[in-house]
Amino acid sequence: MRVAVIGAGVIGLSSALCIHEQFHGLLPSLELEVYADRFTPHTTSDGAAGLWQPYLSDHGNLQETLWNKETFDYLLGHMHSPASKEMGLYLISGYNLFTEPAPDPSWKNIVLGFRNLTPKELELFPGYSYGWFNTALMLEGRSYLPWLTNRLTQRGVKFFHKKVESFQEVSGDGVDVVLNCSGIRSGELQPDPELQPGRGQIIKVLAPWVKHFIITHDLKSGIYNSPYIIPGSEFTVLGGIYQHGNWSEENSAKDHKSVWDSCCRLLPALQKAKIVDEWSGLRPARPSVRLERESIRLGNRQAEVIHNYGHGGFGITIHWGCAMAAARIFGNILQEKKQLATPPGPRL
Amino acid sequence: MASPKVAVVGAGVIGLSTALCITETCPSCSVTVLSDQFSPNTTSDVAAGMLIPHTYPDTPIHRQKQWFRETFTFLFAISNSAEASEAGIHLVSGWQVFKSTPKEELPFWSDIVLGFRAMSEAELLKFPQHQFGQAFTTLKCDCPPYLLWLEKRLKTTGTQMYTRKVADLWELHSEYDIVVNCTGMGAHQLVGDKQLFPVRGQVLKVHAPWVKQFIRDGDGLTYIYPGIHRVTLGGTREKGSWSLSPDPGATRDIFDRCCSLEPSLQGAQDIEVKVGLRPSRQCVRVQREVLSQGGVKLPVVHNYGHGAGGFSVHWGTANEAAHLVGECISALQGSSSRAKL
Repeated sequence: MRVAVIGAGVIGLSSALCIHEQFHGLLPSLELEVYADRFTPHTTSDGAAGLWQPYLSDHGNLQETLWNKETFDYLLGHMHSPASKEMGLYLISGYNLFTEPAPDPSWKNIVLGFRNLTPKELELFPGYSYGWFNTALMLEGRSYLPWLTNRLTQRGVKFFHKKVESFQEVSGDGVDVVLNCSGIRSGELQPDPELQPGRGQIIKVLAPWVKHFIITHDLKSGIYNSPYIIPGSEFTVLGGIYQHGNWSEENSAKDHKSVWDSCCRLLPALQKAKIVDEWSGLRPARPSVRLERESIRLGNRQAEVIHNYGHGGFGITIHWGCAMAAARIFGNILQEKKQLATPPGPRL
Repeated sequence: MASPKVAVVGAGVIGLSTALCITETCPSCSVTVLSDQFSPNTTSDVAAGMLIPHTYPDTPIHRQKQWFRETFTFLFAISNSAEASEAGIHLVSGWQVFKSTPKEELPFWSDIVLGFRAMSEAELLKFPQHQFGQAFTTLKCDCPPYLLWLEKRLKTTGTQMYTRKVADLWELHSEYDIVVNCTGMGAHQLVGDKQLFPVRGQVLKVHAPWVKQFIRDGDGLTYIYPGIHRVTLGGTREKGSWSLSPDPGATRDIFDRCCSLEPSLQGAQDIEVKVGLRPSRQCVRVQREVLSQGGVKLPVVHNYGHGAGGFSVHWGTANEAAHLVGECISALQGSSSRAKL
């Protein structure tokens, strides 16, 4: 049984690991191959700050809320393991700020210690009159992706540096299942008008005195169009750009100024911070995550494709729940193909 | 008395903040700081500088609360300004956990720190050996940055600072009108205060930049305090020990205790061991005294004995000491005008 995984961001690597962990024991012939044109540190996941936090509203998409919760609980369970440092996983507390009262988010009971901000805390943020405080998790892509890669390599998973142009390309030669984790460029494998870039631009600075995340919200402008500050283990990420439909991966001077000015207004001490890097990335935005199975006829063969893309700006937040769901779909495929070894029944 | 000359002895957090307060409450004073040690070699440099008060048994609680409130307010304003990183002041959130529920669940300072509340069941799961906890956000003063920032501010007021070991306060009476004694543990020798005793503290300063939250055991012995560049792991409380030499056994023990609260610390790098003697007393001595010798008087203001709580109350006691200096000046001016009659 050969499985080709397209994409080596957080979704591709974690889905591959989840499937290998669950099924390799049952199916020793399981062979996984990861194909990608970009590997860490050049994936979209590497540019993300890594904060676990879903969007403010799940728009009634309970499934995604459950996957978010599954991911948080899974990561929290790893907090006490010695691997947490290597994974880039740690606890972090911080602030979500609003200019008017906002309804509680779907994730208020998933994170730790969720509460409203006190008047004294709001004094720290002139211009904001309402907000939340909670403890969440950071999972830094630049550590997590190498960690996943190591786990996969140890398990004998092979990696191929190539740009996959079609499902056909990887599914020949005995590959029965293709796991499509191609993120923003999924449309090149199969057109999907619902998948659009949510362009972001971030500035990385040295500001080690910042110990909290600070995320502001402008309910009229929409998600991520308001400044945010997220302290990583080495650098602090300043952001606040979300441009729907913009495919440019070039840094824009206008966006730089907007992020810099708004973050310095939010946290005056940042004015003294040294800028070390700048990056633009394309969030693979979609009205909902595409996580489903599709049978594709390729020439005279049939291949099963498991789609797992369209995680917008919450890929890290939702990744493990989606990986588990992809693994369940894979399990179904194996059952249908009678690939799962069952003990022989008594011969009567 | 046109320009009273004030000598502040001691250049730790108490000496420098007191000197600064004096320049503010008494602009006509000429202030000089004298100390045998300056940052990075003071006791303050060893401390983590967390604003979590220590309770002094013999100081009235309302006075301790006032000191803490003034200190918190002062530092809060700096943390919120462009100078925060230079001054080494930053907000930090975290947990204080207890193996058994404390008698006093609401400490006197709970309404001064930010967002104080009991920890939830889910949060306590991270600490299987602890039954109860408190979550809050407070401030941290990183040293040397904070002391260097105080020194910088003092220099802009024209305050001179000299390295000098003062063996006897009377050495200063010919050059200075008022002496302010902020010598911390040094007061034991300098003014013979037998109520002052050292409580030895050993800490580890490690590189673990993924640790963003503080964790403190309510017993005060084990703590993890993330600073700007290093995390302070503590500690020990050895009453009566004067030893400034690091103890390797204590290093191992501190590291183990901290790792049991935060296992990821196993990956900490670059462990530096430091030792400080907390200048401990049943109550902080903030007090005026007039020393007298052979008909000569020397007004002294004492500000020492802050033990484990120096950073938490420093600005409050500095303010009080500065007011006492003001009183000394009035007394001197009063007596000098009397002398003219």
